Amino acid sequence: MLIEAIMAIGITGLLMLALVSVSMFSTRSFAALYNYVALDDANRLAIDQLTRDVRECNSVTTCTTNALTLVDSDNFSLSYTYSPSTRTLTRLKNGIAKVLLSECDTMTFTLGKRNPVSGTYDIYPVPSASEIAEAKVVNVAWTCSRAILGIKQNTESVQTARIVIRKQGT
Amino acid sequence: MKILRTSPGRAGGNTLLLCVVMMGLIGFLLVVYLNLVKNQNAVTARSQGWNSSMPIIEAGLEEALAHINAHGATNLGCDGWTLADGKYSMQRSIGDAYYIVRITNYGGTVPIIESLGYVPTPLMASSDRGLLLADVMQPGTVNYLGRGVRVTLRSTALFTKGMVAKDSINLNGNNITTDSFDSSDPLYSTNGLYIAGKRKDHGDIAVNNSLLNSLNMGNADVFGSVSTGPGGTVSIGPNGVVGDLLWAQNHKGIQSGHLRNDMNVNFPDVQAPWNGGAFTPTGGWITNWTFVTVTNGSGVVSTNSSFTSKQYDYILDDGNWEKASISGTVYVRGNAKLYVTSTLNLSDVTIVGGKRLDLYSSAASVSLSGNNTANSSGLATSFHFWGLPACTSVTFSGNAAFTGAIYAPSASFHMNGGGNNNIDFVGAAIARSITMNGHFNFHYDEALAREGGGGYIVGSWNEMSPTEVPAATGVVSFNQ
Repeated sequence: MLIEAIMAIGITGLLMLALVSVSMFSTRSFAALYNYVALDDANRLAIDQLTRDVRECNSVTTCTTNALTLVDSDNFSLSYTYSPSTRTLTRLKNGIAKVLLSECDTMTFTLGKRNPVSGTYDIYPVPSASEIAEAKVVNVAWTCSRAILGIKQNTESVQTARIVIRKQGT
Repeated sequence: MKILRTSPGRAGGNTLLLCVVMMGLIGFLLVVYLNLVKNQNAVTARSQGWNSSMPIIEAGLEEALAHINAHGATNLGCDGWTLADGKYSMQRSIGDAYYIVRITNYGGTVPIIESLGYVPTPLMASSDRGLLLADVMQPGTVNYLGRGVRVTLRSTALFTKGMVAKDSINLNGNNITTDSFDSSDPLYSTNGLYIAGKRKDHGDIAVNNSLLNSLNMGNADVFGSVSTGPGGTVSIGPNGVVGDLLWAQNHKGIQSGHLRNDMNVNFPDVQAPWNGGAFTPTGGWITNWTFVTVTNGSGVVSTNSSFTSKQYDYILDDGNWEKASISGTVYVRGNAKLYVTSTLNLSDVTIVGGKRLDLYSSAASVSLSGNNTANSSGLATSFHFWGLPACTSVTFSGNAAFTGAIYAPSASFHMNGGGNNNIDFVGAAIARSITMNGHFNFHYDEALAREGGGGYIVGSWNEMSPTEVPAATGVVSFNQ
């Protein structure tokens, strides 16, 4: 009887261990998958919005590593601002702010001219604010990530884009 | 034989219930999983469709631009383009996607192109069968995502700046000045002629090169802006100035915002205007009568009080003219095209008011000299010099004025002399390199920027709203 009880407890323990392991793995896996899907959706929507805005804007007003201000096609200001403290990318137009990205780790904006560098696929950068009127290309790169139980998992999403301002320098 | 039977108790029912609940839970999780993955796939596919529609739209825009530049704004009904509802349109497939492009307002100064791109998407996120069944395709149906762009064109000109060189510009002389005026605007000219009191500050100078000191300004006064290619630098002397007329009164150097480093221009070669079939020009005497109107007691009386007679080496009427060698003086009394293939040395070009000369040259070396050099009292829009690739040197010297536009992208253009007056070169010049020596005044005529010659380019580029992009016909579709 004792042996039977010990066997039953052992088998039950093993089954419980397996069940707990499977549930923990499934939960983590589901959380990782959900994080990936949510990040990917947000990134795609953000990059689609950004590319559309930049492509049809009139010109660039200011550009820093973390902020980009454009003259939109309706001649009003449109800005994208990244906040390292809140890890968000915010689009501001007509006084209406909209957070496009959250949990964003890095964000860089750089500008390029319309001139290609001979023999390469690269373009000349806009080196200073005094040459901002020559900006024809906006380069943007960001990384976002999410954590599970405080640990960053493989849910990092990296987006890079080179967007040409259609109305500049034609 | 005795068989032991175990009667099912409550525990058996609990186990079955537990199994059902567990299976239900696992099934629910599986559905959630699959739904999540499916939605992710839908979003990815939609985003890919969204982005892949842009090259399709751009392809339509390119075709429309090429079409309107090749056939003009009023002769568009060719090459498969059809006219319907006042719009010329074309539909073309690229792989399994397609575009519909239309040209409207083609008779006006600002034609408009609308390009609609449709790309197939594998999913129907807006299906009335619900999200779970959205990926169930009906046989033969294709789902399209539509997106559109509206482009407003503007015509551009060849001579949009005063002085442009492929390689370098060197302003060597003393008291060199560049400014602008507008021969078609009485506010900025008098009878179409340059007047110092009416000048403007668009005497722009540009080089396409990126070399060190590719633009050597010396101590010139440039009332306008200067441009080089990326990395190109401008050398300016201590007394040189580049900027607005007002700013330049009290400053030296380059005014902020008047130097750019993104010059990037193609210089297409000039083609021979024809292959045979032109008249050979000859010379003769031209007599000009001067009539004087006097008033006496009985009314107005006109009398021919004087006349002048001058012999010209070549007289051109309306039509096409060709000669291997031209040396001497030319009188133009029609709208003429003259093609010189071997030697070209001009000492005087006179163009009757309202007439025009297009001078094509494949002569390697061209000389314009003398004291009454070229169209000196006319409009820049009435005299155009076109240097073919074989034309590698153009030299302008003399104390009188040149009024016209020079386009010789393979030639070194030297301007020597200049005299003591302030009318030296009126018009615009595009060459491989430009060098000014002596005391020279360069006046860019802004009327040249309105005579076209550069075709249509994109003036405005805006995405159309989703409601302006009609659904694709004949298939199930959704927009944006």
